[in-house]
Amino acid sequence: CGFKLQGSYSIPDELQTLSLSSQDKYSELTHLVRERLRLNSINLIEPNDKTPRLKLIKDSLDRTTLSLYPTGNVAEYELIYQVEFTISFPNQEAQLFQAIIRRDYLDDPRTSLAKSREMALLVKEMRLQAADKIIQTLAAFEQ
Amino acid sequence: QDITTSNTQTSAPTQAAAGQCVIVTPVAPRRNVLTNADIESGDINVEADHAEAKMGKEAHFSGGVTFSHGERQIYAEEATLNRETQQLSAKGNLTLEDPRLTITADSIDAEIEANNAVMKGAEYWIKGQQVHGAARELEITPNNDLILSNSSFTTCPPGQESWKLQAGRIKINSEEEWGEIWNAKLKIADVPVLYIPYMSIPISDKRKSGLLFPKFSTSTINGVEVATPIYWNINPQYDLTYTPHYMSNRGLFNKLEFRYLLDNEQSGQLNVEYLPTDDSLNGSPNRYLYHWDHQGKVDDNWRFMANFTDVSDNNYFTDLDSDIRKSHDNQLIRVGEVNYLEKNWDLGLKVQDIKVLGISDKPYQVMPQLRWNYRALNVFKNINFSMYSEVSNFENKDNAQSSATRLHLEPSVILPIYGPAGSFTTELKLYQTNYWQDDSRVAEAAQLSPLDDSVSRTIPSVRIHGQINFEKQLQLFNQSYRQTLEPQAQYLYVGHQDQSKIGLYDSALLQEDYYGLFRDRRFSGLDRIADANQFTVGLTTRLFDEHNKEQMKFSFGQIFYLRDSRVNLNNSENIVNRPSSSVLAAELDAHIYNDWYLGSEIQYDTKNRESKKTEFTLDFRPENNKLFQLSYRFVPDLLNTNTNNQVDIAQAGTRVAWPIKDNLYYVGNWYYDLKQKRSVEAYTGFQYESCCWAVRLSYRYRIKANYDDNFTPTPDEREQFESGVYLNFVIKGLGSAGSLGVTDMLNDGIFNYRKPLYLRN
Amino acid sequence: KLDDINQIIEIDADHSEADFQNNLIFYKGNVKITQGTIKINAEELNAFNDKQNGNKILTVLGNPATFFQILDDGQQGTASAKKIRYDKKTGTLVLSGNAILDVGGSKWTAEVIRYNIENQHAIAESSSDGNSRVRTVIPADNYQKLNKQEKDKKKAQTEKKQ
Repeated sequence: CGFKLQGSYSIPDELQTLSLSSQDKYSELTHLVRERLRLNSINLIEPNDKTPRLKLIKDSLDRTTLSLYPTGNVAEYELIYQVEFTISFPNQEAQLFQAIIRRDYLDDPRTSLAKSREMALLVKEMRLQAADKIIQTLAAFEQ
Repeated sequence: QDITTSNTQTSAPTQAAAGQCVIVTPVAPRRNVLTNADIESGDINVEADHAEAKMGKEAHFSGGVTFSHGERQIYAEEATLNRETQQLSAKGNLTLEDPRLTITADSIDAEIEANNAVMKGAEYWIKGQQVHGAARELEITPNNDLILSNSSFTTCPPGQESWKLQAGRIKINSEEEWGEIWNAKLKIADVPVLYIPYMSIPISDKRKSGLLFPKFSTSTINGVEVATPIYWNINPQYDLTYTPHYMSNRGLFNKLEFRYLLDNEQSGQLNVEYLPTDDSLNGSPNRYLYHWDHQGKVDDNWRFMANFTDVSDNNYFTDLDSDIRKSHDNQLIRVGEVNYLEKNWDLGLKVQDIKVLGISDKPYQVMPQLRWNYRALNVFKNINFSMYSEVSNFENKDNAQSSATRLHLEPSVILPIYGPAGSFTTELKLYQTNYWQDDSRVAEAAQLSPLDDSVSRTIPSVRIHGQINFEKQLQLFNQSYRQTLEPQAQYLYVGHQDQSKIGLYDSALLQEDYYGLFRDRRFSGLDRIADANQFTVGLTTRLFDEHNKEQMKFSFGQIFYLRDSRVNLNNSENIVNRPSSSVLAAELDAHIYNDWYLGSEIQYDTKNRESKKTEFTLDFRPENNKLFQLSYRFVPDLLNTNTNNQVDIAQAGTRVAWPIKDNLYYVGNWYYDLKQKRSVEAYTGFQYESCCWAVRLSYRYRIKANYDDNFTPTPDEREQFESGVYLNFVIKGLGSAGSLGVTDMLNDGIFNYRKPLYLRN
Repeated sequence: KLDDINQIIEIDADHSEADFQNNLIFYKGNVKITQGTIKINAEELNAFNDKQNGNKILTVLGNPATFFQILDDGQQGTASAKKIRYDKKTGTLVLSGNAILDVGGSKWTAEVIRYNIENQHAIAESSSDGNSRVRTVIPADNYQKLNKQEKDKKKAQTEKKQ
């Protein structure tokens, strides 16, 4: 039915070599994005004014209530993980992007400690998904 | 899962009808053209049509006199400069300008060396903001503060001054951009409405931009309510808001919020809320809350965080409008954490306790937990090694529960082989956990088989994951797309060890959405490592437009158990007819057409042919401040552990946020419980925004969560629903101009409220 | 100095011409006039000896013509302009054509400046078309140190920000 193996990562050539900088050098997101860039065979170098730059500005986590039990207690929560990042070319205005990941989980006041562990696990997974989305944004980048 | 990677170009905030909100700052008819050198030099430059002087003594200038010293420029029709006494006086169409201020006045007497000036009959404008006013006398102090006597202060355009503060004395601090006002009268449409002995106002967007002013409301629970927040800016690091909130049914509810912002990025807040006598409850008990949260960072390595909340009773948040919590969740997480981050490893020390409102049995406390995470990329021919380790000590305030210490080591070796055509990942992991448990009291009390005093658990795990990426070009509705087909498969083997002698401290069953199918664990926490011999299959297909932007993503997958997992949460391993496969989890995110987005998630039990979870959302999002959403959720037989009964959740909802006109905004939402056949929340609100003030009128009807408490009325006597009309005024134009947006109104709804959570990076 | 006015005037030039009938002497070529501490240099000088009221009017032209004098307090006073008219009796200078006067710590530029050497009283006018205005510059160092403490504070603040 016409499918063939994907030939390339479809990341524009001018972004094959770039520098990664982050507001939070040792954060887990920075580490995951660096690993994802390496796996997508993007050549990472130190920031300089000749190569494009991917800058992770900030990430944030919000929680909203998705549904309630008849007694008014919370049944489901939704976690919204947001990453703001910019892609900029030498002496060009940086373009701001946002990657938003949503996951939901059930609340259970009797196992609240286990639920906070579940939330931590979800955040770890959402960071991986956000790193993939950042790579996807690189692939869709137009100057 | 949402595919919004919105490319938010950094656009200026949308200005309410621009024409209406422009505060015209007068400009001097003429000013000196100065180079930076002139400004830095501190020389005085004077230009005039005519000058007459006793050289070295007094000079008199006339005819369009422009005087400049540093960055300050003064224009006047005539001026006299006495060189000996360093006095300058000028009058006639006088205008003074510097980078921050524009002042017009009848006259000015300035001491140049002392760098201060007194102006009479002045009008002042703060540049870049809407703040302006008049003063009979205005003094510019040596360190550039403004002291105005019998003066006025407003952010409304001249001629349309819907509100104005008339004050005996106003001091506007130059550096920190906030103002202090003494014995002021608030005038609305020139009618004195409120006398304020002292208050300070932020005049830069460093602090809040809209200063909340009187809030009036009536609600079925609290009766007539009036709240007037008073803001006090103590100094650049500390500020405080005290809000007396009078409720006719209850009494005077005092809320105090103290915020601090220290230099090295340490910030936090302290809240104290106190209602001396709650007249709506028998015996009108007092009700209080105290809360502290702190977040801090010291250079790139250290992270600090603390969060503590306590309330007087379980229904505190249900009944009272607290600043700390707006949603319905009933768990007060108390936590203190210190983290040290390095390039390849991080260390964290944490203590955590949770107070659950309305439930008697106490959750385990983590007292403390030390966590060490190590990761090494490309250790050997791009094999990654990582090691997670943790030592936790669990206590329980309810002394009928056991306490335990757990040491856990989790080394893992990952070989990712990655290419555009697919990926093949092999992961070998070892779970090594040791427990030292003391549950002697539990065993006698509950006659359960006692836990072992010490347990050692060693479980290996192998995970092999493969994915192939296919793609092809596709024509759809005469647009060209690139479609991908990404089948993935994972084999997971986890060893078995009987864990029924291990207590349950922080483990619970995890929900399996599509992404969760590919996890290597079924339980959260570490007290249950489920044995597994299973095969997960998944398929994802996406559509990319010609800009390579993802327009549709559909994935579905399922786990096939080659052998039933024997580990479960209750402490016996009898296996009762386990399904041979997991739910079929499917997710769809599609940008259907123009600004319409469809999101859906289904977890379908193929064995019993019934849905375990169904969710649909349809969004219409033409711009980021316009939203129309329809949503439906169905989650059958959930255990509501607050009341321990099995419940089906079936909820339909709609949300709207829509600008009706430039300055009139509508926010509305309505959520309906299909099972109980009743509304759960109905909210409708209008925000009218003019240039310097805004008013919000909203009606709110919503369900309340009532809990057992030691005072009456008991939960079933309490109203299950609350409805009210809310009206509040906002002073605008302090700090940033531009529109207020509707986040405050959005944050009013149960389902809209977005609670920010701490992110340990 | 105050008694410069009563000193004799010496004039030195490359070339001079006399027109006795109109009591005019015309000098040309690096003209130097000295009278006590006053020194005037210029290209040309028309000296008019007004016998009836015992006055001397010296009009010099130069690019620019310059005037120098040491004041009683030891400070210097300088001036320059395209044309300087010195009236010995009244002791006033009229500088016209981008006139510059620098006395007592402030420096004036204007189209026309009238300066009385005796009482150091000056009047400056801008050009009638108004585009060259009277400009006065009072250098910071001799009237006020931009108060030291404010400068240090500014410096400290900028360091903190970096």
